[in-house]
Amino acid sequence: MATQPIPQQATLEQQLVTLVSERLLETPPGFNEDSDLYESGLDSMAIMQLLILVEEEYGIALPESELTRQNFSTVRNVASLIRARTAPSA
Amino acid sequence: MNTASPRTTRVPIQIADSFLIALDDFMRRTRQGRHVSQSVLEMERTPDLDKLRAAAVRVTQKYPILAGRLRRNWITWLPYWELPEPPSGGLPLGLWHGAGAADVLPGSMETTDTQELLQRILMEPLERDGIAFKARLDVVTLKGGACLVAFSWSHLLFDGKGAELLLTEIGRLCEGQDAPYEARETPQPRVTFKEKLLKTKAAINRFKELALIGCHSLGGPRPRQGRGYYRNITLTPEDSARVNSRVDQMTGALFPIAFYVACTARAHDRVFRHRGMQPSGYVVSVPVQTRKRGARGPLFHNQVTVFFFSAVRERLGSIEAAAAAMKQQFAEMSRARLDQSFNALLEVMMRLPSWVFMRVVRSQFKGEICSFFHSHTGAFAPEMTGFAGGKITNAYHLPCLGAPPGTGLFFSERAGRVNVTLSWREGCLGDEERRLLLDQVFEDLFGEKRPDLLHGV
Repeated sequence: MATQPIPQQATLEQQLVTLVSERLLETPPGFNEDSDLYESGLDSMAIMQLLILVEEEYGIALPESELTRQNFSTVRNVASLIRARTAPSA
Repeated sequence: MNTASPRTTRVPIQIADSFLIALDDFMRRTRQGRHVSQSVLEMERTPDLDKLRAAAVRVTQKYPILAGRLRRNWITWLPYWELPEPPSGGLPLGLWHGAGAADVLPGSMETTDTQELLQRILMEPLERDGIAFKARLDVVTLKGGACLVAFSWSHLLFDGKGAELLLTEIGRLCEGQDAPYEARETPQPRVTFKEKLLKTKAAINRFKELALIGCHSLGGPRPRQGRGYYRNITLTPEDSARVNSRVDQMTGALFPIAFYVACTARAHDRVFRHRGMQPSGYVVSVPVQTRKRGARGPLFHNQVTVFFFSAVRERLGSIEAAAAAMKQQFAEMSRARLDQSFNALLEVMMRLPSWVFMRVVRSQFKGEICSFFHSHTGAFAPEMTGFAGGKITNAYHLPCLGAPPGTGLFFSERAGRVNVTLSWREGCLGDEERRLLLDQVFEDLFGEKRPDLLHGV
């Protein structure tokens, strides 16, 4: 699977906003990285699709322990999860 | 199904429509009525009838598919909608008043039992005066000034979410908001027949796995005539919050689908055990929306695919174990893109005559279609707070099911209240069995017995 390198701050959030708007949710005008994903209609199936998209696009599988409502409430939070999985361990 | 003149307006069906066309035809041929469901709005007071009448006319002008006829292309054998000139009278609108109703609408007929009335309407043909209506509206005024609006619709038109979207559109028309509707169907990539066949492989393998587990319904594989029935129980906001909190704890806030599938399977298993039967497992078909989440359309067509869950006996011992098993299956099926594979399979079968289509569907499970129907449709039209000048206090769907499988359990939410809807076909579920099934549902929802919720069911 060809995956993209994790982009720098801001770019990842922008990419995820585009991904969510184009392929997952009918997002309202002004939707951004801090918009509430649940208010835009995020449900079980959309979350599963998002997980698969993240795997395909960035080669990262998010562990079940991190699949919390809080972590999926905004694009910014999802981006933080992705970054945390790729950050070199101390 | 007849063929039509090439001059008439034609609208192609969508992939999932093919199954609903075959199922509707199956119900008609086996004298079970048609595949009609109801979406019910409970209102604080009677809606403005002048507004509603005007909207009922406008909606058929705007969407003539509401009185459309299904045809087949005699060359490709693909079904399509033939759209008529919009009927001048608009959608049929029935007026009723319950015994002791404060508001008796002019020309309304009295009904002594609202539930009985709605169940009867579900079994009646939607056609009126030679016009092939596919939906109707009924307004029932009740004691204390409350009111109920029932929107009955053919599953040939759309799925439950589509019904919510059209009701919302009717509500907008009542308020004079008549913006042009832009139908945006999800574009399908062009693939060859061979590629489609390859894509069906995952779904076919899944059906083989499920056939080994076995598929058993409470109604059995034999089609049953007779009426459809339902019971809807609306939980209080406090009870609903308790249920949601428990679901969050068990499957995580992200995957309530797994909990509700498990709950439905265990409830049906309770009835089977009461009958002294211990089937090896059940097959649960769970429709999944293909509309973009949060979208206001497309309104029409069945915009769904289906996940087929298996519920094997060994994993049904506790709601925790069952929910964990369903969660695992959900993840596996999503990763294997079984939703897309099932859609590809339906697409390959679209040209089949309905009776052949159903024969193929039923042959894999020895005459059964699935063990029971189930869905959690989420929040019912959350953007619609009022309808024709009245405030909505509750809303839910009442599906009328065919047999097999003959039973279904459905969940939805409206303004923080969970609605539990049990639907069954006459002869598939006895009175005591119905109470047992719901007793198990509430025990799993709350983690304790709730006999108080079983009064009157």
